[in-house]
Amino acid sequence: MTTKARKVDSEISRRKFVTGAIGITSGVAGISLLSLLGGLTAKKFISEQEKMISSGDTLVHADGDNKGQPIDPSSLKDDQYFLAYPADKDGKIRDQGIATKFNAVMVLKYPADKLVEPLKKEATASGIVVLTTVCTHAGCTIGARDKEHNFPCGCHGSKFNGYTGAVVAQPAPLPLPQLPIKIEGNKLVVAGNWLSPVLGAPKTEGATQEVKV
Amino acid sequence: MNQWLDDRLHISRLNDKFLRKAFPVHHSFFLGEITLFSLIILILTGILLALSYEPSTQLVNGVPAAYASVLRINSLPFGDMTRRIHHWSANIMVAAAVVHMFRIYFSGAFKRPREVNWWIGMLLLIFTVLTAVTGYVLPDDNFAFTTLGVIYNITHSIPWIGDIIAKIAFAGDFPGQGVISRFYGYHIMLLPLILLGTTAAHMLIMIKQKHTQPMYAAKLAYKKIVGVPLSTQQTPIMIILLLLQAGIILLFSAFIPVHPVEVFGPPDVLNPVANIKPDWYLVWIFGVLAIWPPQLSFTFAGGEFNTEFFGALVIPGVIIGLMMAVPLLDRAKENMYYAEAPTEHPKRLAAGIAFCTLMLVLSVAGYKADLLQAKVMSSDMANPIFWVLSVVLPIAAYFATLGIVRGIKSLREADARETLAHGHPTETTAHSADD
Ligand code: HEM
Ligand code: FES
Repeated sequence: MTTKARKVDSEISRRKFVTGAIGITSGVAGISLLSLLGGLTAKKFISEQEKMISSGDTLVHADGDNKGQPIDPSSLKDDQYFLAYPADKDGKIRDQGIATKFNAVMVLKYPADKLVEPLKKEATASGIVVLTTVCTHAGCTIGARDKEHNFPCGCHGSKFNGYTGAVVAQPAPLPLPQLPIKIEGNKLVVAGNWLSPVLGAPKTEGATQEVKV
Repeated sequence: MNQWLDDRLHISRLNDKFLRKAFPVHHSFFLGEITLFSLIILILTGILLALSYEPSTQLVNGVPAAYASVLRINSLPFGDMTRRIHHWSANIMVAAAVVHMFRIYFSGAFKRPREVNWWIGMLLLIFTVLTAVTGYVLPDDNFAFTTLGVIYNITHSIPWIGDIIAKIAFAGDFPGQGVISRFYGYHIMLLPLILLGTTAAHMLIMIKQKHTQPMYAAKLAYKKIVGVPLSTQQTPIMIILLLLQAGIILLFSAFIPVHPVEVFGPPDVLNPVANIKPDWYLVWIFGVLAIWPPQLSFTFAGGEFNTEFFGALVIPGVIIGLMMAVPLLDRAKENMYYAEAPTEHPKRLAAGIAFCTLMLVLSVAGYKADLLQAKVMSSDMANPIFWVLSVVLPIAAYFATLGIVRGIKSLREADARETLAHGHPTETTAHSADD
């Protein structure tokens, strides 16, 4: 009897050992395998930061006859608006389309009396305002200005005021972010970062920094 | 030959276990099979497509390589057809799974002991939809690009951890270079493996627990399993069904194009696709997004709880949670044996109809942008209208169903009483038709 009992005893401790060993090894293995997930974030891909619109860029026509040419601020007529891309210091147009949707911006020229909140006057230059084309709701690109002078979003029916970017129809929660600009010679130049974050845009350094123009 | 194989592999034991499984003969039991056949067609056509598709965002002549490769597939003999078959089968798979689920729900087949298979079935439904969505973005056209952007922002809207989860899921910020190859991996490896594994579990449990029996089985042989064996009687039925289904899918594919990439064009932020919509089974989530009031957003301990989080994750999560909870409604201690007639359980039936009504209202809300454009409603009134409708209509549907069921029941009882009195059921019917 006693020998048997001892046998049973050693059996238990062996079981304990095996269970413990399995527990510890699978724990370690599990945690170390988790590290593989780190490789999924693809930090290397994000050279995006350099490709994003940034302070000092010149704005060029994105579409139409003057495509690729710098925008001449003096040529803009009241109430006119069009799409623009940023070009870097060497005049090279920054990434667009499939590489990034955040570089497509709207340039709008306003009669002076239409420059009202939520627009920041300090970030405009002789009645010219630059707004994002990215809807603040879920990030769809907004459509062309409609008859009521609003920018409609085709995804969930938000509307933004065609002068101020303010929300006219929900579900969009916030007005269209504004990009500060200045005029240098006869060029339209980006004067800082987006005044409020553009939905889904990679965070560039100092994105929320206050801009003094 | 059979004998030779059997001596070595003992196939006849398999035979007893699986091949003789009895299948109840009733058309509603075909729905699960249609789902399964769709999966098979999807895997076959998917392999064909994978042979020519190129998962890359590199620009080729100004368009992403993925988009270019899809155009090339379209130009191959039967290439466009293969794409259409794949896409149509995906739609049919989701539809069949949904209707299959309703069959289970309305006939009470989710009850003890089949709760586990209900949950596995829900997982199948969720993974099927995920597979469809990840496949949908692979052509990297303007449509897919917008869709991806919305999904990215939804993922990103999870409080605290959204940023890191979105980066892991989308290979960095969106739009980034890695996103298409990442989604390709999900669509052709990860999700199909999960689907196959889950389907296998679903089938094994079903074979182990046996189908619920249709009511006619109770009359034929009470508490006995009635049905035709898989081998051989059920097999020809299944083959005919498969061929019929394949034929219908081919017919659809031949005449109705799906996802015409050349019409959408490559990604172009200057010309967004007007009034974009997800595939039909996700329009309801689009609707929740459209009508969720942004005033309800708040920040808590550094985490942002915004419209997208509520509209696209919390509310759908609650709805899926409710669907998961369905088997818990049943408190029976006995195992369920026979499928129940829906009208015998009016409350369950009414709740199901109310649920469908809610889904329909939300799906219509998904068309809010179009309704605004068509001036069917004004932008100030749209949200209140949909809020009211999504509460009132399901409740109305609930009570209407109860009323109709009660009405039918009393009519039947009256019929039965008359039959008893006159003794000639055929005559009575003729009489009442005259009245
Ligand atoms: C990809 C998806 C699916 C496939 C391939 C599939 C396939 C099948 C098949 C072939 C059956 C045999 C019985 C029949 O034909 O009715 C079955 C049974 C069953 N399925 Fe599914 N199904 C899927 C999704 C679902 C969903 C979404 C649910 C529910 C939420 C579900 C719950 C069940 C249950 C509870 C049974 C056992 C029912 C009974 O024996 O009466 N399945 N499934
Ligand atoms: S993304 Fe613009 S309304 Fe939803």
